[in-house]
Amino acid sequence: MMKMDGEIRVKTDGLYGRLYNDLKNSVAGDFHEVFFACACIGYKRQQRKSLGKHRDERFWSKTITPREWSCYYAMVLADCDMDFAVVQDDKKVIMKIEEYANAGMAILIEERLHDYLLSSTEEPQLDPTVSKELPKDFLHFLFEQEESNKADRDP
Amino acid sequence: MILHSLKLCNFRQFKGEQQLAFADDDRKVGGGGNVTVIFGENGRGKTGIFRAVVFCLFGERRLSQDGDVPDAELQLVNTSALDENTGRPVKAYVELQFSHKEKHYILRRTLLAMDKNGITHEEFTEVTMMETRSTGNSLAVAPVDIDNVVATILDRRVKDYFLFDGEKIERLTRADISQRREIAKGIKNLLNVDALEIARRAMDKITRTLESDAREQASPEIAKLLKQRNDNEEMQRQKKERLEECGVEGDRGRSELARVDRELENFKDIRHLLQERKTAEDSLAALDKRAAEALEQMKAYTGRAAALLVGSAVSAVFEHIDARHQKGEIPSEIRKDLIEKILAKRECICGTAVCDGTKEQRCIREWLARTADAGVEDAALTLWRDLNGIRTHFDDDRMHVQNQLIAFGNIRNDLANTRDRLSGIRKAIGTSDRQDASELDKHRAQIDEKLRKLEAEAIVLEDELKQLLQDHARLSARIKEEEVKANRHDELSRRALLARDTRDALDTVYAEFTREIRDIVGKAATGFFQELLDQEGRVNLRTVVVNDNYSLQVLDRWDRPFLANISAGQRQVMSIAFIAALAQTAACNKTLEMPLFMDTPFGRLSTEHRKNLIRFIPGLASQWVLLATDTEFRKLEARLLRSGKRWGKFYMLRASEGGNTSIEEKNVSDALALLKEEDVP
Repeated sequence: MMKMDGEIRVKTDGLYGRLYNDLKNSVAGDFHEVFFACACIGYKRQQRKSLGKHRDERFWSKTITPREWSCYYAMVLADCDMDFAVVQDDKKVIMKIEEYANAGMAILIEERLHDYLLSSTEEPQLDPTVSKELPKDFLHFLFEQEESNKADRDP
Repeated sequence: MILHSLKLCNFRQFKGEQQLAFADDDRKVGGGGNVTVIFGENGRGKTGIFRAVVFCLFGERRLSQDGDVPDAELQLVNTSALDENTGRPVKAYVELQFSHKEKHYILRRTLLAMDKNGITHEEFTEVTMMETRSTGNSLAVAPVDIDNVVATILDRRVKDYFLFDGEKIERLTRADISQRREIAKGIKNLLNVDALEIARRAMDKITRTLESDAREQASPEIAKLLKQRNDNEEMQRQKKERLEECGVEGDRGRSELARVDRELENFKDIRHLLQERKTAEDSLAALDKRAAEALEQMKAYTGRAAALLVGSAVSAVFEHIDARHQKGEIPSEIRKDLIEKILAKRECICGTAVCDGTKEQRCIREWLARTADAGVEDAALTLWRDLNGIRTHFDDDRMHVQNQLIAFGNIRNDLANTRDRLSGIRKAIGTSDRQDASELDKHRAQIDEKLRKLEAEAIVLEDELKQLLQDHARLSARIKEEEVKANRHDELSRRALLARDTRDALDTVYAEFTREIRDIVGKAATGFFQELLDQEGRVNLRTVVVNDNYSLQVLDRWDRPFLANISAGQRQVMSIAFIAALAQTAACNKTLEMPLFMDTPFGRLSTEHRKNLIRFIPGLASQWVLLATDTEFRKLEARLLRSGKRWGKFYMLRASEGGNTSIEEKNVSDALALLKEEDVP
């Protein structure tokens, strides 16, 4: 029950393998942080997307911080009417969050990263020559999402 | 010696044949004057005129100011003439007409040059001299005798005191090793005691050989002391050599510094822009660094910013658990396992039966439905606390992200503005050649640093030498005592002692000679110093002294050393007085029958000092050739010179095609219209 299980292999869509790596170096410090940001974006838009056939085990759940775990539990509990039975199994929690993160990454690419990606590759890949200020744009994107949230809160 | 005319052909900047006549009438009243002013901007060839005279008289292509410049770079033949005659020889010559002791001379020195594959080859080809006596008889001086004839008129070694430039004056104003070298060189050249120098060196060698032999036969104590004294002398020699090297390296450095300054002069119009460019480049680098740091901070904040997006879920879950907590459902008052036990045993803890279908059993079952597992309750409470921690920071996190974005925006604006500014400065600076001028500035700073280190090293060496000399005197006294005690009278020790005494006696003679000359030069310099100083200076400053270590000192009216307190202008006056004193001493205290060439001598002189110099020098020497720039020779100086009625010739060096210079003679009476007004303070 909400043990913050560290033995789970967190998966992402195989298509985003290279992009996760690029974003890990460019906008965050580690995979779990990129994953968390994507999951938050997916959750904010209330979009979940199943991982494709080719899924990669991206990182171990032991790298997820307690703060991130708390947010994941909150996301799942809020989605299932506060049914604590749903969060008894951390694997199931993570599976649900993987779908949020997958949708979040698709949104991120569509709405922000497209200008930063190399057009010549099928697999999304950052163009390092234009990505110098991506940390700022990434943070700005998150802040914009939050501001729309605020607008929803304070019409 | 009176100079009459100088003819130049394809020499340095002077393409084709050009000539000038010197004002050569030194009658104080009613004459044509003995002052010639050659006026030109930097780089126009004033020093080229000076170089032509030295080249013609002595065949020397180098001036003292050339320092370390390799011979290959000291091209004498005009570059344009060479360019027009690629692969063909170009003839260049300098012809000087002068008279001395009722004889008239025409001296011409010729050289040929050819440009081949981008390399210029120059060679001296001919020197001719015609001598005409007062009787009108002329004869050609044999080429092998020409140098001797010139030497009897103006000794090569003392020529520097008649032909001196601003750099030499500047060198003498410095209270450092270069000043002492310059003065020592001047005094020694005046002494003209080459034979004495050779004798000193020979005796030193003999003394060392004899003492080395004598040491082998001496008692252990004396041998030990002799060895210590020899080591001491060897160390003295090494220190003196290093001191000399410091002086040479210093001279080279200063010469390089002067060259760099001359080059920098070409960039003076953009120096402030170069400084602005450096400031803008530094700002840009600092802003780039700040931007990189800000981006790193933003990376660290991604997680907190993302958490804001799930704020609604965090708050909802927190509020749900909190409500249950308030109601006492979490943690529940009665544990779930206890209720399940009661229902299974059908008996309450108070002993009442709980039968199926009764009201009591229904109540207990409802309670069971509301009660969670102990593990779930604990986890919920932990989550409740964690979510509370997260949500209480939301406002701070939001504010922090916003501030980071604003701060980065400001940095980016500053970067854009600075880049625009830099681009404007670069455009104003122009070509890459000019942009490289900042490298010269860096080079200059490095030379300056090296010179400071050399000067510091020289001070240390001089202190060490003083100590070695004291030790040497002590050791000599001990050796004498020991030898008296040992009653040593063998032949070898007597010879060694004799050689040492002879060497010491020669040193004493040498020291006496130099002291005498120092005194003579000091007295003459004091006289000139008093003439050249302004009223206030004359009251406070009395005497110029050449110290034992060949440094210059100025004494005040109470005979106290005062050099450290005098102004830069007064130091320059002191230098000019010293050079004039050397010239006068070389001329055996008569009116100088020599022309005084002064290349840009005014430097830091105040108006009063300039007035005195302009009034005094024309009477000191038979001729005064003043080489001056527009910043040195203005209407003020021209008026003063005209009022002395001894200004006879005025030439302007003008730029002509291909970087060449043409010599234009002007009327002295027209000079005022051609010169700048003096600066208004």
